[in-house]
Amino acid sequence: MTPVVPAPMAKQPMAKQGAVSSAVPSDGADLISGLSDDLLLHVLGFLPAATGCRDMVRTSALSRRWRHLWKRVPALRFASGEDVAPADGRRFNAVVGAVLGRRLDAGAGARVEALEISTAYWPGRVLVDAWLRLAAAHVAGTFALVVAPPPPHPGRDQQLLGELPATTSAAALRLSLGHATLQLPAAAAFRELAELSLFNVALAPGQGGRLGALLSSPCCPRLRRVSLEVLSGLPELRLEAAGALESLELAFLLDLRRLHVDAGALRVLRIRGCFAWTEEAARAGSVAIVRAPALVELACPRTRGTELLELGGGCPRVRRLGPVCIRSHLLPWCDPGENDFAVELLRRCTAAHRLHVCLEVPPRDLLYLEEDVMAEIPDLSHVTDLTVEVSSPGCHAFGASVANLLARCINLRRLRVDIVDAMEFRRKPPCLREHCACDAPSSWRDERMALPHLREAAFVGFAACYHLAPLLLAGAPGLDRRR
Amino acid sequence: MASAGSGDEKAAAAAMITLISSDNEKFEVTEATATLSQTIRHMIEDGCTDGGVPLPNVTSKILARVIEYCKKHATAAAGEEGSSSSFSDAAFLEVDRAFLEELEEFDDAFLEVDRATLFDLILAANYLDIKGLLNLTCQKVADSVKGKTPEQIREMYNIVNDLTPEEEAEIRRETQWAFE
Repeated sequence: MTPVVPAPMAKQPMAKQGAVSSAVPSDGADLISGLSDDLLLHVLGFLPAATGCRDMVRTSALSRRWRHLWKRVPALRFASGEDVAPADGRRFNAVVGAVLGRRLDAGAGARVEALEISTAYWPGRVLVDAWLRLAAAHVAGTFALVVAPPPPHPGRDQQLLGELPATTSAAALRLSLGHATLQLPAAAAFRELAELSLFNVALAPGQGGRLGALLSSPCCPRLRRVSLEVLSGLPELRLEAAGALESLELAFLLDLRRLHVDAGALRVLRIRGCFAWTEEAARAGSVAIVRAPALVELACPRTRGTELLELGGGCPRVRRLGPVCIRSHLLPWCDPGENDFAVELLRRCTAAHRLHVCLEVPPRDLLYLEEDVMAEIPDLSHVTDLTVEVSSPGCHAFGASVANLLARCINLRRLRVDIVDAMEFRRKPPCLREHCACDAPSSWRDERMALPHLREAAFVGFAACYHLAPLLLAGAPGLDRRR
Repeated sequence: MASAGSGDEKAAAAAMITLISSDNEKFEVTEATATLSQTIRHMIEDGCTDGGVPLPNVTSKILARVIEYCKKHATAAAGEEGSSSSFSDAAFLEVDRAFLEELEEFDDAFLEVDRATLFDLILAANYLDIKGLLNLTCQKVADSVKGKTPEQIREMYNIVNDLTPEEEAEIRRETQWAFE
């Protein structure tokens, strides 16, 4: 906004007597009209999104100057809030439609910098399609649409949306479509698109394969960040020519069986809840092949299924790794290879200075277990920041396992131990059974820890393992803060 | 850029800047306080602050308030840089939270002004390009309009209704849903 010189008081004091309330200074001048249009638009931008911009539209009845002013606000935000009664939800959606109609149908050249709509009531597919089309035609910056799922309709499938518009000038697209089915165009021109999030969308049957091509450079030459979460109908994702892609997050892609990523500029890759493991998938070999030589951050927590991830060219530059899930013990009937993927990742990422481990202590009895599965974990002397998130639903002790991990991190500077089930531990004393393997070998308490560089340690929800803290204090002379 | 040298000297010490209001009153402020204003920041960068910065659009009364705001928020900005709290350190987070609450209380008290002063502050914040102050004051005006009918807003701000009755009826017809 360009600074403006205060305009002279344009309007005369109101002629009407007695209209001035006591809160108003007695000069009665029309102060608000002394502001420039840009400033008034700035003020309008602060009106609440929860009323569907009704406050803003009402200003059109103030005077001639105000009549069309609101139609020039650069950003439109609508947010119904949570827990809306159906009648209110329907009204909210109708008002959004009406505001957009007046704001954007004003002229073909009408542009908004940002359009954000969030409604807790399913607007119906006609309205969703209309909003997608309007946004594609008019939004220059960010378009965000978050809709609640449609109410259940037994035997009726009304959730089939039209096709995602094949052109848009938006720079960021964030869609969460209440699990409605979206159709994808065979080709698209998203020339300015830098950021795409697709959440809670079902891709139309047979069209999931198109997504990879739509996200590749010929369609999206500027695409830098992609986030796909809770998508169905996507059995395969091939991102083979995503030249500008820097960040890729994939979560709960329910049907994904094959992933192929070739992205030379990719720096961040996070995968979770993908690749349901099946015998068939295991027989087929690697389900995910990623070539990302510039990767600096990798998160791929599950031990099962993602073990089939193949990182072409290794991960020489990964500096932040995790979460990585490690089982502290493997029960006799478990697959002995449960930790293989985690161990392999730890072995490969030799430049990772920050590591986040999810330590999973099995809930069942650990009596007479002898094999030390933690022994497989490689040297981690490159790690300086370690977060251990312990999950021990059976209230087993975990000090031995954490100590085991720490013994490999001799250059550690900062440590955080976080207990997921802290409440459980508070209710129930930790496992004290004599032959339980959770605290084995019991000699761990007598071994000296050597963490000469440790400066900070934080224990969150730490109540159950009394022996770790004193050992840490003895082994880390430089420790200056402890909670 | 002949002024580059003097700019460096200013940056070295806790340099003071003189601001001159429209009624010729002089205010000495630290550079950290003054540079919350992007307009003044650019002037400093261009080395045109020797002999004081004349602000012909801002009266001494308003400038004093603006400086009060900038002083408070400049220490906040400095605090944020200083306490880049390490991960998980709850003690630091506590301090940050207490400070933010204090800042919020300051802002609330700061806005307890009559309407004429509020609009002068908006104009000054806009002219001086102080984003935080501009947002704070514009939010206050928006809050006062929220949920009001056009009649109430006109009355509150003495806006002259120059719409013909026909025009007004037409607007209301077209946007009836906004009045429900």
